[in-house]
Amino acid sequence: MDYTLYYYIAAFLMLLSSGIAFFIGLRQSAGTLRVVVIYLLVSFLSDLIFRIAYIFFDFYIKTGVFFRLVEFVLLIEFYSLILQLKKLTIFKRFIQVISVVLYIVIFEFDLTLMRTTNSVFFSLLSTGFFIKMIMEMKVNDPLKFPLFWINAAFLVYFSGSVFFSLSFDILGRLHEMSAVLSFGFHNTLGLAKNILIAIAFWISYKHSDWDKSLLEIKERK
Amino acid sequence: MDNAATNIIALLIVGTSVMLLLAGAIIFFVIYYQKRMLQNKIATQELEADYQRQLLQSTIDSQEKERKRIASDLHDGVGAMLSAAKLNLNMLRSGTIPMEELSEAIGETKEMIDDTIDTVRRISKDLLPSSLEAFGLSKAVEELCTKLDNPQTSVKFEEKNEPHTLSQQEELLIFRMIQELINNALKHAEASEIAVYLDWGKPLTIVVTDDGKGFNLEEIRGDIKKGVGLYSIENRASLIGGDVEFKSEPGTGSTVKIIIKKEHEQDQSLHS
Repeated sequence: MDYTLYYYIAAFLMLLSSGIAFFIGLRQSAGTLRVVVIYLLVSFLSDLIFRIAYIFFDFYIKTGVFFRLVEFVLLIEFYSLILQLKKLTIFKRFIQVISVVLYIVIFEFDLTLMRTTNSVFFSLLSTGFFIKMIMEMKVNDPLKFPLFWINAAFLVYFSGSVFFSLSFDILGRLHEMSAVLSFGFHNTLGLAKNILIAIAFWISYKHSDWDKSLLEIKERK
Repeated sequence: MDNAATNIIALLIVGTSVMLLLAGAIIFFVIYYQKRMLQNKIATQELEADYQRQLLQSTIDSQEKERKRIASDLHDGVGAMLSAAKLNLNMLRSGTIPMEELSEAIGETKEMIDDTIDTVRRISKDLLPSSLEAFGLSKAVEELCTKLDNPQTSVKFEEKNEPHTLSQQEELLIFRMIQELINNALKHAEASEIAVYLDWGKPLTIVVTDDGKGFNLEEIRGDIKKGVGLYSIENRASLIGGDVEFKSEPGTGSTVKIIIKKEHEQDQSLHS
């Protein structure tokens, strides 16, 4: 198969899946899941704008930079909620502000650095959530627990993206086709992430009795 | 494609594969571990429920046994004596007893009624000693030990420190535990020396020792029917915040220590 075709198919499917997952997630009432719904909306819109601008107007717009920035802020919010870091609220805000400043001042909107930072950081946080799940043993059946699926989605996506994030630019300069292929694979990972999140939303909708104890902090607020 | 690109692609493939494998392994481990723990939890719950069922059955059996004993005491003792007294009274009323034996018959009837009163008093005392309500735990335990003390089995009572006020329910539960322990020592251990120590210090400590044949604690605990006495003592102690320590081995007698901490004492020990 032509690498470019594979890239476009994967990109289209990723866009479509983020839109579908977003629509499934619209029914969610829990605050934590709403953060993920907003994350999907931003992902969908940023991808859509990028594709429309590139395909119809032949204009390369860096929506990825905006997306990575929002992704960082939203997922910090998400993990602080599910990891119940209620004592670290000020620290969380500090991290969010610092990250924005870092991206603007130090990284100068360097997409490679932003992608890599997000990949490493959220791989660690998603692993941390699984460790917490095992230690607390509050969840009887992880397969019926939406946060398990969402966290698995982020773990697969971010851990799989670490090496891609590092090599996108270098490959683009050295061998364009390999870069296209790696972008295609990255989009496949994005597709897998969106499918897993959609499953999480579906489970949350089907099993309304799922263990919401991990969302207590948000509900108390 | 030049060498640098090939190297980067190789690194990319290997690195990504390793990362994805790790992520997959973590996810599968979480699912496997949680499911395994869930199975263990269900198995433990089933065992617990089974144990509770057996304990309940044994408690019901022992209650039934106690009821039968009381019924037998009433039927064989009180019932028989009252029937004999009634027969004597009927004979007195119908005039079938000669005049010269009248006084003796009345004396016999009075004796029977006195014996019946004594028996009723004994049964009642066994059920709930009046001294417990009137004079408190120390006196009731002392009275119990004195009553059971005999040439074959010595039952001694000692107390330490100044007695303090306990609720009626606490006193009754402690009395019942001591009664049960002495009863076990007499009936099952065939002891020749039993000693009851009551230390009113803080925490309140009760120690019952005997020189009987002792028992294998694990074996008794393993058989719910045999161990119902021990569980009943533990349950009673837990109702008033007490802990029970059993020390016994076959042939070496046994020592049972009950430590009762009042709520504020428990809090203090937790904080310390």
